[in-house]
Amino acid sequence: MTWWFRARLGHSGLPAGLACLTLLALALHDTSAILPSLTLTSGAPTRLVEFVPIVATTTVGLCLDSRLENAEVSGIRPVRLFDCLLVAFVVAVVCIIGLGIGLMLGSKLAMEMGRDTAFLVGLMLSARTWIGPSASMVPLGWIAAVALAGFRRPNDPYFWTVIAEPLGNPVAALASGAVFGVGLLCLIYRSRKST
Amino acid sequence: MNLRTLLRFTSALRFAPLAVGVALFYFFHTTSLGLRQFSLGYPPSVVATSLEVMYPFAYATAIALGAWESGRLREAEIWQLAPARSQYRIAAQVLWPAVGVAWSLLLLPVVLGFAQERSMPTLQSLPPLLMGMLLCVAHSVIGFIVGCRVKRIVAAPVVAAGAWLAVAMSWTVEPFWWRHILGTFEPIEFGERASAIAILADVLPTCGLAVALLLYGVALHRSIGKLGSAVLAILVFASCSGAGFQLARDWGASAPMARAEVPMTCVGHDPEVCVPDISESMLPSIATQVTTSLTRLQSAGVTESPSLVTDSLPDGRSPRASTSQTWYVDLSRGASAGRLATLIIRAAVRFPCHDPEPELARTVLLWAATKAHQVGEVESGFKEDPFFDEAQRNRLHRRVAAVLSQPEQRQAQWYRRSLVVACDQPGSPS
Repeated sequence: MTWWFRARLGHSGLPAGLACLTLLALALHDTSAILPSLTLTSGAPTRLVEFVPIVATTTVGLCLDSRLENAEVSGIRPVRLFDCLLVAFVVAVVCIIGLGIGLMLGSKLAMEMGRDTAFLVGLMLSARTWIGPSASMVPLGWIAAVALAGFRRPNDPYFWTVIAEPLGNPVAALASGAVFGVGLLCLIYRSRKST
Repeated sequence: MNLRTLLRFTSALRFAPLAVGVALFYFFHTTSLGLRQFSLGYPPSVVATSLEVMYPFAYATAIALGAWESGRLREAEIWQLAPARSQYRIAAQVLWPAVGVAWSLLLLPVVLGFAQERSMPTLQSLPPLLMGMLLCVAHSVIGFIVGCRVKRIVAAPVVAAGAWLAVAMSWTVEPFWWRHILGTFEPIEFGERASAIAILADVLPTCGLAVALLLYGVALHRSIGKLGSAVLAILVFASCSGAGFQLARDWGASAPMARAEVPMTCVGHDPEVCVPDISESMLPSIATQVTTSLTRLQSAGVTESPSLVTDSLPDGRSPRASTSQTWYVDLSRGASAGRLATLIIRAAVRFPCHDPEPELARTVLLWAATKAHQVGEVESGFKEDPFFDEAQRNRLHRRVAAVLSQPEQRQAQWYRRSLVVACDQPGSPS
């Protein structure tokens, strides 16, 4: 497991990414901005904390793309299982960071970060199966799409946006869980040769 | 590399359908309506209105594709090969499709906008577009150099999110200078054009960053060493963004606009009536209405006839004050809205102060309207005022009737005195 850990940047990229994420979440946890929107003439009020999971998805992508190709294709170690654990670990850590910041600073928005991260990581992992490394742009595309077309009225998002829904929304919670599961399945069953 | 190979490998072409889709969707969903309502086919307005919402998307596209292409070269280990071509040429070759896609996001809405408004671009309408195109190049260079250092799957989404957020939210955040230095341009009204100084403030910081990164990342390592190029890069960036900030620091919500030369069509003599060419078709009826009203007002002793009545439409957001010889009246818009007579009467009744006592002012205006045979229009204007109710209207009519029952001479005297009184003593009608 040691070489897998080092190959996946567990000692460098992963902690660096999570540290960046923590700092960003601390800085942006209660800031909103009005972004251009198609469905609202006044613009979509977007919580900037919705952008923070991009750090998590890129970290996951970076770690999973950092491989020892030959050893992994021919080896007998359960590398995919390890990879799944890695992804689950990142999402769990982000959930804890979000909850911690939320409870510490009394910010409901920061608590949503874990759910959003699960959703976007799942989305990214599923997309990787089809479009390879370009999938790292998919979470940003989703966030932009939510700002552009995700709102019926200010603070009244469509159900499909998931990341714009409030914390307790059951549909959003279920959807992020499901998408995260699909992402993990994609990670397990994708072709061995792809990177 | 020949063109076909280049286009087969570039990520720009794969991203293009999505980008163009967003541009088209945005145009037909939002921009098109705004153009129809506000642009009047005036080329600088058409350009600025079409571009307003596209800047952040174009910049995010340029910077993300720049980072992505750069990462592709790095992963292919191009830079480890023995140099047969200049590094700049290699970079330029992979960057131009990226810049092309970003440019199409700007060019497409502008072309569609001109087609919809059946208008032709003029030289003075183009600076906001050229500024956007220049900044797309700068953003792609920034993305490229970031992509040389950071893996593309990290670099591309992070720089794209950063550029998009910074530019897109600049419209709604204070301080105001933020929105003037990141390369967006606000809507331009009729008669205005982008001023050179506003464009400069928009261009300097981003281009400064691109040049600084270029100096640090690529150009100077071999000749002046790492430390020297770092110092130079910081100097370039600091001076460029500092200059942009200094320019824009004191601007309000909108950047300073320059006055454009608008071709005018004139007719008649004493008064000569002028409107911009775009409302030429309305000119005969406007001129007739202006001269008739003025003759009537003149014979009632309301005003001397000016030598020039000109449309205030070309003044944009900085209206000029009328003088006794030259009147600036909102002729075209007034005529389209059917309230031209009211505007002429308001221009004719020249109170010596800015804010006359409202009740007396209304009495004077309605009296002048009676003299100009335009009571109906002025009254319907009063009816739109929610703070002016039925009882007040009846009182106003009684007062005007009282004035009108006097002989002509006395009425003219009352009028001249009222102009002074309305400004002297608020709340004391004569």
